[in-house]
Amino acid sequence: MAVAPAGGRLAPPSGRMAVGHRKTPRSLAFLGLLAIVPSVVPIALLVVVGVESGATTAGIPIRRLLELAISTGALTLATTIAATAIGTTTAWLTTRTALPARKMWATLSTIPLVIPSYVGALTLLGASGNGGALSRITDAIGLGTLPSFRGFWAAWAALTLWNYPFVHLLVAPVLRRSAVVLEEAARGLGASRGRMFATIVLPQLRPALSAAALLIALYTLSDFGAVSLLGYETFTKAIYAQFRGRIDVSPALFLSAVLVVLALVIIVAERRIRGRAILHSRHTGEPTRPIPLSRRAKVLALGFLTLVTLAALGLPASVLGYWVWRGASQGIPIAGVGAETVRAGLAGFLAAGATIAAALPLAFITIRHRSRWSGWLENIAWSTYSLPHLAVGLAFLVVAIRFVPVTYQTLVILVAAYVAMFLPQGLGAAQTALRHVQPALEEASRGLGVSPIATFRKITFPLMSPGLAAGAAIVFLSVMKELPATLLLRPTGFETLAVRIWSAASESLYARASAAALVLLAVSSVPLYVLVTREPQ
Amino acid sequence: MTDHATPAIRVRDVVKRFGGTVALDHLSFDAWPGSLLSLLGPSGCGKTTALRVVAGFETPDSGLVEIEGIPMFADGGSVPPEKRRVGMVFQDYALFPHMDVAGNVGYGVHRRPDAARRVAEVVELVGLRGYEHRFPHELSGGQQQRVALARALAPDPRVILLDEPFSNLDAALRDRVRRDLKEILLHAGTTAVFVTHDQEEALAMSDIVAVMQHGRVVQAASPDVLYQSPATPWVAGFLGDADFLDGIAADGLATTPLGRFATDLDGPVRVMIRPESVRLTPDPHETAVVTDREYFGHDQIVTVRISDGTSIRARLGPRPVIDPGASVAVRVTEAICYPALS
Repeated sequence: MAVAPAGGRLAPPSGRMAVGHRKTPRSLAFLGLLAIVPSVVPIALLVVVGVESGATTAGIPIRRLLELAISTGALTLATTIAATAIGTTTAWLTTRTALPARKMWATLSTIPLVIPSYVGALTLLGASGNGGALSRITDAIGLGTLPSFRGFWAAWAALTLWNYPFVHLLVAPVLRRSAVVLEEAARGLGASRGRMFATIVLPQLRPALSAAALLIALYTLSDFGAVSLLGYETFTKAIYAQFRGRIDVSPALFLSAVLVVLALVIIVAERRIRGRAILHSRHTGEPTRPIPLSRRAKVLALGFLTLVTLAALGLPASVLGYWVWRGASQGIPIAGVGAETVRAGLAGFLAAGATIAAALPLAFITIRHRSRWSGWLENIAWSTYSLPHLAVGLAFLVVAIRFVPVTYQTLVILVAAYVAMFLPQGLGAAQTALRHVQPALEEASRGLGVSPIATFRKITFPLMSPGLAAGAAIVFLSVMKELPATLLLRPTGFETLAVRIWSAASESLYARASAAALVLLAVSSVPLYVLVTREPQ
Repeated sequence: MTDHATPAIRVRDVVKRFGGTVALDHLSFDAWPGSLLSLLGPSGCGKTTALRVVAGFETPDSGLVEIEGIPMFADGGSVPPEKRRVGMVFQDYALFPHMDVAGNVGYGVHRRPDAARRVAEVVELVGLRGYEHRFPHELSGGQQQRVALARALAPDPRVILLDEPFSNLDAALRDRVRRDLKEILLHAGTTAVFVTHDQEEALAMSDIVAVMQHGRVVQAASPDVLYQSPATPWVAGFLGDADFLDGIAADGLATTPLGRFATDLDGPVRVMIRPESVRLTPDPHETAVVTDREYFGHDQIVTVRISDGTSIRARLGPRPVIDPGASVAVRVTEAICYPALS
């Protein structure tokens, strides 16, 4: 056994050697590199395609590109504005005002989160048009049948109504612990409510608002399910149409590359807008008495919240319920989606396991063995976070066809894509879990003569496991709801709930789609409820 | 100019409830122009609420609040805080973390044409010239407090309110900041009201101390009057060390185990004795026995058990040193009598 450290570098005196700067063991480094492979695929492939196609547009007319850019941009802008406005309003009303039943409204403002946008789109379709649930009502009261909800406004409504809770969730905590004393100080210095809001509240809110807007913009940009069902042409819909039934996937890949560039542009723009977060504020968490509302304001606020809740929760519940009931009376039982449920669960289970397995070595490298290259591993793991799932799916499809045909249309390539897409969530959970394990515990175990691997098995892993379980649950939920990549990569006949909802809804088979949607909501909201109500660490 | 017959702040019969608890129970006090008034009381006595009512951050349920004779709260109508011209220094200063010193100080005067000059003036007054472009987190606790004070002074407020201004400073800094603050306020000539739970601070800083208990002022007086003639046994005990003896009063004299004291009460009384009014002389023939001694150097507190079993304390100079167990003669130079039931 060599006494001098490898590489000829001098080790610092052991007494001064900080935990976290230890040299990474080779086996761990190998596992880390292996874990990062899926995450490298999409970016690498898109870069290769960019280089291959050079300055050409893979046969897509510039005019067409412009059209897509405008239609996608318009939807993204409109959705971001509306969702940010609604989410900020619900957050403010439920954290800062003396609204009756504040807690209940706060909960109701976050629940729409469990509804994927394609289920939202299904709701809009199933409500309107001939035989729609709302159409029956308007027909009955003599207003005639509602026109089918499709196009820009339908897509806008679906993406706004079922994404605004993200804004609420990001803004509400900031408002809750925002420094009320600063607001009082401003008013005591003669500032009007307006000036106080602009100079004191807004600067505090800006980072959260900007992050929320970014999230909504990225979701809208990469949404495939809602826009394709509601017939509004954006990049994702065009990519899917380009790809379908063709052997040459380069136009679809080119459009994906453009979409990724658009996402990057939005991310960079947000970084600049966000600016410097307010640091060093000592004023946190003093409990405050809520702002009293006048009678008129109370009526307006309650009316607003009722309307939003009815649209985002009442509508899906009643429309899906209506179609399931109608389907049952026509011999389409809700139990008919059992196989889809099992498949979705299987995909979620495999993906969650693989993602956590990939996250573990990366967590150890990035926390216990920090170095420059561990920083790079972390960056690569996160790089897929904001990529549209359709683009990721397409990249994996191309890789399977071109390089590893054995995996084409197998669960292997599907799970690899899931790992690439959801590794950031798993890694975040694993890192948090590992940070809560004191290195001294591991050292104590090693000092008692236990090997590193046995120490991991007996000490570290058991202590990490609640955090890892939470991470696995989040990945599981995301996979259950994932649509575009599943659609592209699934083995033939591997219909999951998401695929069933989308394909049945595309063919206007609302009863079948609604049965699958209700099961999906039921299956995914139980773990979500557990996660949300869990004691914060 | 303010008429000297008009108080800078007049608070009358103010009641404020939070849910079921009464924070202010018919609170009344006056702050005279140019003076420094402190609201002193234990935590939960409503002193901060009183300050917030004057500033307009809380709306009372009933009562009257006037500033320079102008009603701020009366008959349910309330002037909003931004229109009251009241300067507030918050307990943790509430400096805007995203603005520098000049930004903070200038916040309340941004509309004035001479804003820049005024900012320079008050920054100078609080001795922070050269720090205009520092951010709050780059300043020490004492400096932050000066910024908070400068910010409150900048718009020429009618009164300055300070909420526990020294509670965030460490003991070493506190004395100096206290003296500086008093000087700055004197120089600015502004009426100031500050809230504290520290008796020494209140006595040392203020022209008038209003002692609060259960949401009302039990006594308001100058520090010396307050200390020497506390209105109730509770005030006496809250303001400093005090021991009590039981006695019976008749014909202008209260009789206690330690002698007779002048009083105009009749019947059972409680006699308050401050340690500095107690003299001890070693005397082996006396029945009073020294039970404990705390020696501080510049003075000492000697505890004595007298014939009826009560303990009283004496504050003596560095000498004589009397050891526990010794018998002493006890002489009380001053005492105040209260009815026994109060």
